[in-house]
Amino acid sequence: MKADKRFTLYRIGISVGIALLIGYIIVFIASVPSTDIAFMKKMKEAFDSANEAYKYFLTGALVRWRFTGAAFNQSGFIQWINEAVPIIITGLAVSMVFTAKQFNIGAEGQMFLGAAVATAVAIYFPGIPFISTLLVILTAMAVGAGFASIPGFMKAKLKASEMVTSLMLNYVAFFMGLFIIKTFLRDTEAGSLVSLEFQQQTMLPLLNERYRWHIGIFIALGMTVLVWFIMKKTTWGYKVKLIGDNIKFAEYSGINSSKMVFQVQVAAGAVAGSAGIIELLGYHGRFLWLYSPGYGWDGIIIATLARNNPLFVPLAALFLSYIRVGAKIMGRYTNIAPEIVAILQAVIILLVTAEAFLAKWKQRSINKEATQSETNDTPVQVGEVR
Amino acid sequence: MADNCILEMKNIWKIYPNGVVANKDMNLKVNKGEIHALLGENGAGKSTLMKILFGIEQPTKGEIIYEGRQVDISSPHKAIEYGIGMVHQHFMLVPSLTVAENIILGMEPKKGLSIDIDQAYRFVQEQSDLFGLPVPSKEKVKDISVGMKQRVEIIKTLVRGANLIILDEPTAVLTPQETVDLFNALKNLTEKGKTIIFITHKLNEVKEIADRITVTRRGRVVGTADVKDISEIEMSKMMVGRDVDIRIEKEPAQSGEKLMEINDLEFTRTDGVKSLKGISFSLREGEILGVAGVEGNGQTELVQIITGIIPREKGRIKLNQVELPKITDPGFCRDAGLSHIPSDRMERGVAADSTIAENIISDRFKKVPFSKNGVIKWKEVYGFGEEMIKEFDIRTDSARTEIKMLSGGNIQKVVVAREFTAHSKITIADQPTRGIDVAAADFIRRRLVKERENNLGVLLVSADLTELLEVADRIIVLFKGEIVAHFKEVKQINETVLGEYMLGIKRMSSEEMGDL
Repeated sequence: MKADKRFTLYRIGISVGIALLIGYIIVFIASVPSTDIAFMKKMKEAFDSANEAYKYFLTGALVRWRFTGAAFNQSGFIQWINEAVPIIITGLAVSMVFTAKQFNIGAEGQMFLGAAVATAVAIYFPGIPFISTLLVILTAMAVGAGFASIPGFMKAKLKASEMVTSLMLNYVAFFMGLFIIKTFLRDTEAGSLVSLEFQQQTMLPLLNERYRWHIGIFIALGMTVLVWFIMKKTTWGYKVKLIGDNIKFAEYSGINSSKMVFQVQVAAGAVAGSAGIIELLGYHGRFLWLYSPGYGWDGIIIATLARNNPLFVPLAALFLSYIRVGAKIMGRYTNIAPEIVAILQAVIILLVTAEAFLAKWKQRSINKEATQSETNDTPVQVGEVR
Repeated sequence: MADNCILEMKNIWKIYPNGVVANKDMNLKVNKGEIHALLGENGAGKSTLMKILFGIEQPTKGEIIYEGRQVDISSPHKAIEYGIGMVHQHFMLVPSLTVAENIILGMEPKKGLSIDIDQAYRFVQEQSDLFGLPVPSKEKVKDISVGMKQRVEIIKTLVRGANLIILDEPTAVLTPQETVDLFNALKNLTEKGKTIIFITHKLNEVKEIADRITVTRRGRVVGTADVKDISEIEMSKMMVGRDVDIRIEKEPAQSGEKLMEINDLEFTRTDGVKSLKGISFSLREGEILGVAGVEGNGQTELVQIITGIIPREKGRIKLNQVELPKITDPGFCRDAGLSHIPSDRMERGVAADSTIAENIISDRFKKVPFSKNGVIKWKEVYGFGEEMIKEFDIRTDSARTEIKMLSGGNIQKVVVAREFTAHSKITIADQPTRGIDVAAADFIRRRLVKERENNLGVLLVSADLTELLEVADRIIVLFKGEIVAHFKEVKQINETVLGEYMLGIKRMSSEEMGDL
């Protein structure tokens, strides 16, 4: 139904609008000066500084504001694109398992452990351009897949809830990853807990040296097309969709559902496994996370916003990284804390996933569409009323 | 006339959130003390109209006038307050409680803090005497028959003060004997001043019991009439909008080789009830074998075991000379040449959020031309979907329509389109026409007969005895997990004879049954 799709778009648009509005109100309240001046003057000042903050927030990623005017913000733009890379990849992974209605939320652990193990390869395997890079990424994918196979196996064979197991295994992955870095790969010369540096030749090629714009975005977009093709064009993707839609029907049709439940979790684990190491290969050049960067959780937000459609995942990820970069820039130039972006995220997710939000409006438009098509319908002949 | 009118529903519209228009400007007028039949095919909007009356659904537009005043029925609770009761198709009873406990649920007589159970039994006894509906008040609901459960439901509405009782397809689950009892009870109630609205799509029942009818079709009211002024043929014309030839012509069966052999099949449910006690029979080429029985006598388990959904406990099954393995695998059964029309289409027969075409290829997407090297050819898939829409007369504008947008009859046609085009030698049809409109049901029955004419075998499990007698060549009757009767000549029997075996009143000796 057309009204249905249109409505989904409207709902996302309005959710974003409301979230930005709420954000603005919070910024405004935070901007009210505490000095002892007239109320109206206070309001005026708060209004001015809130506008200033929002200017940075909404445009900072693309525009550099100077006294002389506006200029293109190259560093902001590159940061925006770079930050989207890992969360596009985890978004794809999560959208795969969500399509099969498997609530595997282990992307965070798969991503973290994949990156930690692949770090070893990036440090010790001789640096051959392309070959060693590919090998590092494949290692991370294999680790992600292997780690995802644990909840996958437990779900398929023992009917253990993949939500619980994958969630708990995130902690296992986190501490295992840190253990590997600390014990075997630590750079003792460095002042903080980081790994040794990667082989120079293994690093991803850069498009911009100064701000370290790496080709990760092309890898992420390539993966998007690949995942889209697998999910929408292959028999495997069709089977995944079918078990997600009605698992009993899939079984009745002759599909081995426990095999598919296992396979889709492992495949998504492979995708998620590569998310972290790609960022390290492109930007940092060593493993430096002391706490989990949260890309797996972002993947859940993105898959939800993208309605599990792989083609929408980059859009959702770019949107998320845009407001995050904007918030950071706002934090740098004003007194507003960049953490405000977490509030915006929460409001957007809440409104997008709340089924009842705007449902009345939706019903009215459906009523309208339905009654309109009714008038074209030849009415039933009424007769024989006694 | 006007003062005699107890209920008037005026210009009712109902549009569901998914855009389905169930009621289009419907009007209904019911007189006090009559049995008013609401006749229509499934999807005609009659159930929705009654849900609105009972407060389960809210109308998009329209008004309800009950006992002379306009009412706003916002919930079933409100409806009960007004004196409107409803008996649903699926009973709302607690199986582990006694009949009396079920009846007084929510209005228990109290003695201190505990329920005064003796008074409850006395009260239920009084009420059932008053309305002439005897019930075994001390038995647990799970131990009583379907007909009795329905009676309990009716008393439940009566003790809550219902003056207008809605019965949603009450005879669908009953045997012929139980139906007679129900009709007597209903007539009795109208004599006591109660009004009854009777939802049905069975014409003979209308003729037998109703005073007036309102016929609905495709969400509109076609007309209201006195039953004595109108013939069954006229009713069916109003209902379907064209003449439906109810009889299906078919040649005598030319049964050939054995297609399916079932040997000594046993199954015990998780609750410990042995639902199949050593069943043996075979299905031959070119025949339709009917399986009759009151629901819950082993049919479900029989079908699920043959189709590989649940594992058997004991026994052997041969499909097309292939022995079925003990582990469950519906895919294996399909490969062995089995098609399956499941009894609950929404639970197992379709994926509601997928399109018609996606649903039709679910068993053959790996085969040419639908895919090649693991890549699906969507053009072929949707082309085939459009073909199926034409061939099976699925009412929709495109094969890209999602299943959830279709009516029950059309969803069943999607299931049937897939199963009949799978080129299987054996078709297991489990309640293939349950809850769908007359025209679609007729279409499906004719396809079943066509299968048989193509020398294929059909196992037809149905609660609709008329359908069994019409379509099947042989009939076996299941009672408590055993085959208690076998009719080789279906033409010589009728519903009453079948009913006696279904209720366990009679059973055949193995000599009488002969070769199964």
